[in-house]
Amino acid sequence: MKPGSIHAENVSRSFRVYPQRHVTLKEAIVRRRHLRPVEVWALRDVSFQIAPGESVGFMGRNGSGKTTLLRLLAGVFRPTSGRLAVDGRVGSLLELGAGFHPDFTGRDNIYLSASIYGLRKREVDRRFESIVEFSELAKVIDLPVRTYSAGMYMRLGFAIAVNVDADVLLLDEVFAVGDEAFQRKCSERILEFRRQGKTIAFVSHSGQALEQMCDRGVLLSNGLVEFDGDTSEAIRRYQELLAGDEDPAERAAGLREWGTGEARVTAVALSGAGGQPAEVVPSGEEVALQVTVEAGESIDPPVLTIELRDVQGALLSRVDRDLATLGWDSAQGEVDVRFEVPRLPLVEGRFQFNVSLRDRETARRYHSIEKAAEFTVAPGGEAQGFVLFEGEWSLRPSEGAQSLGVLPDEAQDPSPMP
Amino acid sequence: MNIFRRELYGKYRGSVLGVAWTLVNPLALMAVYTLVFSVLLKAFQVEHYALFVLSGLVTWVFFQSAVQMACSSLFAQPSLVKQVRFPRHILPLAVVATNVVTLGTMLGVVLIVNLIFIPETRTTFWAGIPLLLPLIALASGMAVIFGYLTVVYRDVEHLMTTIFLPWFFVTPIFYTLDKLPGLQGNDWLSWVIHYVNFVTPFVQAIRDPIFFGEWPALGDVVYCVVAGFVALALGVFVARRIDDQVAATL
Repeated sequence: MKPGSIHAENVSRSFRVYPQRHVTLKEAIVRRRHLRPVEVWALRDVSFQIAPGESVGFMGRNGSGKTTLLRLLAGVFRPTSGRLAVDGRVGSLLELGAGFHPDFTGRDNIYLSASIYGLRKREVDRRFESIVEFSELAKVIDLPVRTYSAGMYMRLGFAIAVNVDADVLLLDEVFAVGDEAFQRKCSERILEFRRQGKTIAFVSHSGQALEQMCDRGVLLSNGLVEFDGDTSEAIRRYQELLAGDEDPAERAAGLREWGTGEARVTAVALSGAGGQPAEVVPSGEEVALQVTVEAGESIDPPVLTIELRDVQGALLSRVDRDLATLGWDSAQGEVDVRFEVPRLPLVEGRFQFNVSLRDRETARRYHSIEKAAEFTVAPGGEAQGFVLFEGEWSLRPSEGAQSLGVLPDEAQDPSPMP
Repeated sequence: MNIFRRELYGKYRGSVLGVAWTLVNPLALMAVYTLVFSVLLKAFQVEHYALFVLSGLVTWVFFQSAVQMACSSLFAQPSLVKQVRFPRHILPLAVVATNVVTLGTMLGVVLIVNLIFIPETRTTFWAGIPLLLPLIALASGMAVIFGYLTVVYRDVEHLMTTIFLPWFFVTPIFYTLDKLPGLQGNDWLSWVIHYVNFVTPFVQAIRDPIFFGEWPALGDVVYCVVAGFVALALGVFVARRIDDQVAATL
């Protein structure tokens, strides 16, 4: 086998899960019978081959076995059955800065951490400069890492992990390292790995990152390989899987789009008074939202939902429209649905539209896009706040001096009070 | 090696006295036992009683602190155990290595003092040194076993804390087995303390040459060597057996 290749043959891994989180020796002896562990299979008969230089993205919902697979690849534990062979040195970015001693200086921790990766002192000496340079921590390298910020800590961990000359790089969504500039640097470094022909196994929820990074996608579901092949096809199937899933936490895991894909929103455009696409629209002016919908097979007319939300995601308004009422005809292929607002009832701020398509009967989600369009409302006039609260003002003499003007009419009737 | 440094540094960080601190605990124990048993109770008529206690404590303090500290060695490092391919048994072994430094320091001090005050030890003292090897083997085996077990059973560490105190009392450190009136004619109890308590032969075999100026008993030496090997073998067995489970459980 060449360095960098991975062979997995019917790999399964089970965990014994106990009813309680901690098992104590006392319980193990005293209540032997009550402690039946439950056998949970995190991975079942997983087979795949990764050739040196391939970048493979692993996706799947929480609990689908992605993390178990990465830990198997990292060699943290072994498969319960099956054969798994990873050839070459594995650089693992599963947990950055694992094993750092807080009281050690950055310098000492580089040596410590690299020795955990299996590097000799001489080999670390050679890489030391590039690690420090990459981490951008030259000024503080002789301070204890406990004085580092979380970002600096992670940066050092990342710098070490990518400098150990790994043949296989394992990544578990660690792109949230440091500031934006450093994140770019990390991504570039990983792409450089790719160009150098190193093998990359990557776990992520972000379709964009997967698409950018991977030649191939493997979709895991309940510990089984559901799909193995083209990245965009894997992402599409993953989105399909998520469609049945209304768990917001799952969706918040990074996917902006999900759905079964039988009908899709292909474009969303906001236009101003003149009909041109607009990013900034004046308060109280005419706007139109145009949603382009594409339906594959002949499906029943879907329901289009448009949600207006502020930048924090708070729902301001939701409108539904059954496209059947607009004369939907799936034979048309692509249609433009227009929603015209004569006077935009917003005062100022930044807002977004979420759009989604679902089946009228089953509420099956065809396609949902969060932040399909974002726009800014420019204030006009004297109104303040979010919502343009319009009405007619008037003033007139009050009728009936005794009455409390706000009470309903009935209450003003003389009542038989003693 | 780096892990060992990490442990050593961690143990003495921020302490000005560094390794000297390790002598404080046995010295305090020595002072208390001398006061209680030799001065107050006048229970033991041993010359240089303080040095006698100290010579036994060398073995015990090393054994106890190595095993006790090793209990949490894996448990306290979840990121290393769970996320990194790495020979995990190094963690408890690093704890033992750290304690070997302490052992060396303490033994050095005790030897020098004994050589000055007890001239008989000058010919025999060296015989105690090779016996440190089986002692370290015993501590290593047990450190690995209990380091691993603590991950699987969370209460092992507390259990050990509880066990070590009575264990200390049934180990002939502040007394000798042949000088206890209660053991006269009570051979089976004497036998239990001597051989079931597997620390006893180590304490005696090391103390004989460095304090009494006698050669260690052959039976004790053989026992130590066998116990050292058995502990190592058990350590290897437990580590092989549950290494995988440890990574999955923590």
